[in-house]
Amino acid sequence: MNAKKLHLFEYNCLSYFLIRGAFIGICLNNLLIISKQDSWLSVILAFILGFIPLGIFYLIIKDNPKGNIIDFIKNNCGNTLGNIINVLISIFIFIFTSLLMWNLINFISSQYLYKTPNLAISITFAIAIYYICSKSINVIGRTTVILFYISAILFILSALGLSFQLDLNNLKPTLEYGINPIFTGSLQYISYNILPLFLITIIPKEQISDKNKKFIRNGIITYVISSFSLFVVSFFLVAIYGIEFSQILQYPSYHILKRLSILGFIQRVESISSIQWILDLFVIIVMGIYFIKTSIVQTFNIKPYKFIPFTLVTALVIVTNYLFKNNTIGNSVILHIFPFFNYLFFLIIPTLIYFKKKISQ
Amino acid sequence: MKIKLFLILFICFFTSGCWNYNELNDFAIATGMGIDEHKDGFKISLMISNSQTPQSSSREGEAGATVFTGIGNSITEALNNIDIKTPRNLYLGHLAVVVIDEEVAKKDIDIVLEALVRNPETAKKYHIVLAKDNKAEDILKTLSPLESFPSQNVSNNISNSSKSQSIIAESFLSDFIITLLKPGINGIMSSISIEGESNNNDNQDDLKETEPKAMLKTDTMGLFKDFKLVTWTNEEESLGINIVNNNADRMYITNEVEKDKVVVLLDDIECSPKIKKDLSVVLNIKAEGAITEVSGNLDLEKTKTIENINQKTEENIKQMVYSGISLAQEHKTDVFGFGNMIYINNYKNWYKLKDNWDDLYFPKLKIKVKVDVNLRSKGSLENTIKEKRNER
Amino acid sequence: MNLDRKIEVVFEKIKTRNGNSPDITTREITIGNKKIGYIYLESVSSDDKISDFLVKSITRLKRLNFLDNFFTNLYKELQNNIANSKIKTINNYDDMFYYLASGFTVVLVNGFNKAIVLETRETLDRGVTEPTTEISIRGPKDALTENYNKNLGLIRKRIKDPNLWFKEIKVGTRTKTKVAIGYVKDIADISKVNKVIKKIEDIDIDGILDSGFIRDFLTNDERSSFPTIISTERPDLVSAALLEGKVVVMVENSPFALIMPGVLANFIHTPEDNYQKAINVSLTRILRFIAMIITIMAPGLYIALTTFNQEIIPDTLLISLAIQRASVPFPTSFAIIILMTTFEILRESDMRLPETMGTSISIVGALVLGDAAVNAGIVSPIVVIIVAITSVTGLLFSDMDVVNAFRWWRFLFILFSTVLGAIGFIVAGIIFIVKLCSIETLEVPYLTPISPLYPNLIKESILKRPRNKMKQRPNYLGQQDTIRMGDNNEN
Repeated sequence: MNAKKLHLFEYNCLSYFLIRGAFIGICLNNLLIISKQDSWLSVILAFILGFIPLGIFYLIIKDNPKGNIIDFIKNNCGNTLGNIINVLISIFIFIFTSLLMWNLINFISSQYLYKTPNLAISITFAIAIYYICSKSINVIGRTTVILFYISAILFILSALGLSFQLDLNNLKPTLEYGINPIFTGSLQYISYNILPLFLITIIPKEQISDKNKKFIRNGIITYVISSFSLFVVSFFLVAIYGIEFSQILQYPSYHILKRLSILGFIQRVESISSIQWILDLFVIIVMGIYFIKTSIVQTFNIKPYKFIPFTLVTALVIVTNYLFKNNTIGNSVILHIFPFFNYLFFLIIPTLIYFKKKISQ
Repeated sequence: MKIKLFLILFICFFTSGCWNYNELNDFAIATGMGIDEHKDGFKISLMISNSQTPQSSSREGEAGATVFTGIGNSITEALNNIDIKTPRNLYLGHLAVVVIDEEVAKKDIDIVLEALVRNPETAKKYHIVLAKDNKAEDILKTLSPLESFPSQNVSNNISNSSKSQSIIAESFLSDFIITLLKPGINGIMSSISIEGESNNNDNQDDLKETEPKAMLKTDTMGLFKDFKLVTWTNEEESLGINIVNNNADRMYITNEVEKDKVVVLLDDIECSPKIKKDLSVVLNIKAEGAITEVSGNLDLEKTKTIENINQKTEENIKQMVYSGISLAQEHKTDVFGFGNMIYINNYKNWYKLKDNWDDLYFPKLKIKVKVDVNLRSKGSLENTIKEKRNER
Repeated sequence: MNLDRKIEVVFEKIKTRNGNSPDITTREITIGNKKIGYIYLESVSSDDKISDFLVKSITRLKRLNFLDNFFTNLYKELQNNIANSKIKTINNYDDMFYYLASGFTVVLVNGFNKAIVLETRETLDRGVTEPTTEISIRGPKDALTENYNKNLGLIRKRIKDPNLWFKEIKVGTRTKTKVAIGYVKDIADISKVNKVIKKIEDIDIDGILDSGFIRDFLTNDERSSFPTIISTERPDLVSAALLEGKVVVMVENSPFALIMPGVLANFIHTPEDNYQKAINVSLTRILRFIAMIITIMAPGLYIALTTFNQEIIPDTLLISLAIQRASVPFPTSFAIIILMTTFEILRESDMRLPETMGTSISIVGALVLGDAAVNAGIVSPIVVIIVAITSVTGLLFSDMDVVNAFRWWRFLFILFSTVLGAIGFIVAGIIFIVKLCSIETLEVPYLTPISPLYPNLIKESILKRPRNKMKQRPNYLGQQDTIRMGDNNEN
């Protein structure tokens, strides 16, 4: 496994998807509820504040080029405590991945296939997830590059097609409710769209086969590009639909694609343009399962058998089926309860361990 | 391992009849919907566009259209009633136009809007119109010789005439809902009526005559207050309202200049409203256009004549705008969005006004109109034919 | 087993060992008091060569009288006087059979347990003709033949570099076929060459008859349907591949050479591309790429759109499709599978027919399928159009392996689309991409210019650059020398 290296471009495409992953259905709805028509300002503020977690993740990655986050925690907290923390993080990531899968299944089953039982959709995606997780990370990287091309082309087409229907009056009055909602909104955005970058620390730095100097510069470029794309989405949404209609709709970033008309005669292409959202969710779920698989293999020192991803994916399908009773409970959990756990596991614990290491040096 | 997964899929291959899988010939494709009032609730008529005329071969069928009706307490119940009568599944995904009856609109339109938007199958950007002086069912049943799919008749009629004459404005469902949800503005819908006899015209043989017995025409607009229809406009008022709302693309105005008739085409009309602090509104309207029809005794080569025509056009436009505004103020509904403008620019002010905006403040709003018309061209002729003959 | 000293015993042994095969010919000549005998197989040796060279030389020797060291002197004499290329000595029976079957003549001297072999091979092949499977319009029209030496010669005369090395291995215990591995020593990556050599040396099989036999030994992915080795009949393609740093395997008695590694972009190329104007070729390559996507995804996409996500189809088209389907009994996917199977049967039968019967059968087949099936109400017309587009775009590629590889994937797409519509199509697409990304041949990933991104290589493999701008070889094969042109051609 050590001989199979990722390229830097593949690494950055993975980061792009991880940042964009939890936007539709999870973060966007929360942003619209909290910051209303200033959602785009929240995104800008979060972009600026997001350099702090980004810096912490890069410090952790650069710290030990031969190991990943599992080794980092094990080395700095002793064996038993480190193992317990690793297992806790893995369980939390499992729940997070299950939440994302629930979101994906909900999205598809309410907009595309409303008569199909949810289990059938889960099983179909589970086949694809199992297949891709049983390969090594460089195959995942190469696949991500091609998915990135598809997603980027669809995004650019949608943005260009919708840019003629902007009405800037919908964005006013700005700052109607003050600065506080903007700040709270940006905290939500950070917790769902920047902190999942933690998942990429599972790849040790020596698996990247390009020169080391450009690592941080390319990482920042990826961060800027993906944040810009999300900014464009939230900006267009408020500018075209107005804030009230966006709040009523369940998946506004999908509905707005129904207004897209390419060259004047190709209409109703929302099924095709919304593939970008499906691919985002898919890649971040795959990274989550890969993280758990690697952490199990490293923590318990066993060989990477094929039945490990199979068990994980089956467990994911079962847990997703029974996760939330209905949509309303799910939405309120996503809004109120979940972000705290995101901050706890993805930001606070690594920061504490990093400072502990710096102090004890 | 992979073989087992493939086996699962293969089994699903054969049991997919109970899911979203639908063959095309299982469908009754509904392209137009009409909602009428009925003593039990609603009466819905659907125009199904893929019924076959009996003498076609299976390769090139001429699509015939039929209208099915159903009655129910709610919209979904009425649709289910129709479903019982058709041998196929209803498919609303290609719905192109929804016609709402006057009585339904006068009561409460939000039930209709809810039922249409919540359904994930529908497109959300289709035409929604009112039926004036006729039932929606009759409007759907009227065929037209120019269109092969009858519901295209209605939607094409609306789009074309809104662009060429601006008596009505195109209203889409999603735009209507967005306007409804904004603070300080109320919605407008265009309407359709039938000219001629309105019964027994769902016969295909009617199309073979040179002059069909009944035709659909686009009529004036209906103003809403919250969710209820409050009034109809006449032609002058609807032109004025469209000018203020920036929905007017092209407009023909007939002027009387010293006992002569001059018809002017305006094709670039812009209205920019400004609200001052003491809640008075100034509307700046700029228009550019051309002269299309002149009746004889005017000398178009003199600049004074052109200025005269300009002035008359400006007066006409002012008259239209004032009549439109006074109609809206009389019925206490702000369809222009002045309230929304106050909210956008100064939301603290709006909070004081918003509870009584429609009833108290809007009718008393002082509105001043300034018009500026410029007629660039005169068509292909430089002067009138009569004038040239008189010069001889 | 060593040879016996008496000629008659040797002759007897060979005849019984070969089952008294009718083509063994033996002859004895007496020179002075020494008896010389020779054996050859009439089927593979040419009589006139034997009579020209051997017999005349031996009879010339009759005048001389050698007594001691007769064998060595005879050997030296033959070596000096015979105007022939190969001459060796052997001393056991296994080697003797090998050389006899290869067309050599064995000269025995009574009383010595060694023998001399001389090459007198008859050419049993077609001669250099035009290629039959890869047609060329503008470019060299010679093709590799079944003659091993001629094949090596066709390559040698194109690359006159002494760094072009061939390593020869004999494979197959009964056939003992010669397999040559060719590479340019200072361009290719030696580790890859050594891998190929080791794989071929490890083959332990009783016989190989064609280069297709050793394909399965050279790759390690039997379960993926896309080929990773290019097989070609044209020597100019082989030489171009050698100049890029690839490894070539040529097998005796086979007119097809194998080129490794082959990535997906190579199957979009044809040899013609090198000889036409670069900018037009770029557009043609993009067209082939689009054709590849169409031929795999078209039936699945059609099923997904018309049975699950009908809102993408414009209104008027949807209504006419619905009318067309009104009296058809089968579900769409079933009709598509039946029609595709029938098309494939037609295509296979078309390939087997001799040319005199060819055209009328295919016209009848097309008529039967197209018009009559629609009129009888078995399928709807649009399905026939879709299947025809799929099959015709599939035949755009020159390598039969690639065309057949698509069949599996088309079926997968149809299966997923029938179950879940557009979502199933997307999932099948993801599985397809993952499968393509995971194939690696000789440590070169299959989707090389796209997936590990090499911007220089995209200009050469997906589009085409004019020849005077291709200064450097792209480094994806790990080559050593990457400079193609000097700086004189800078403008």
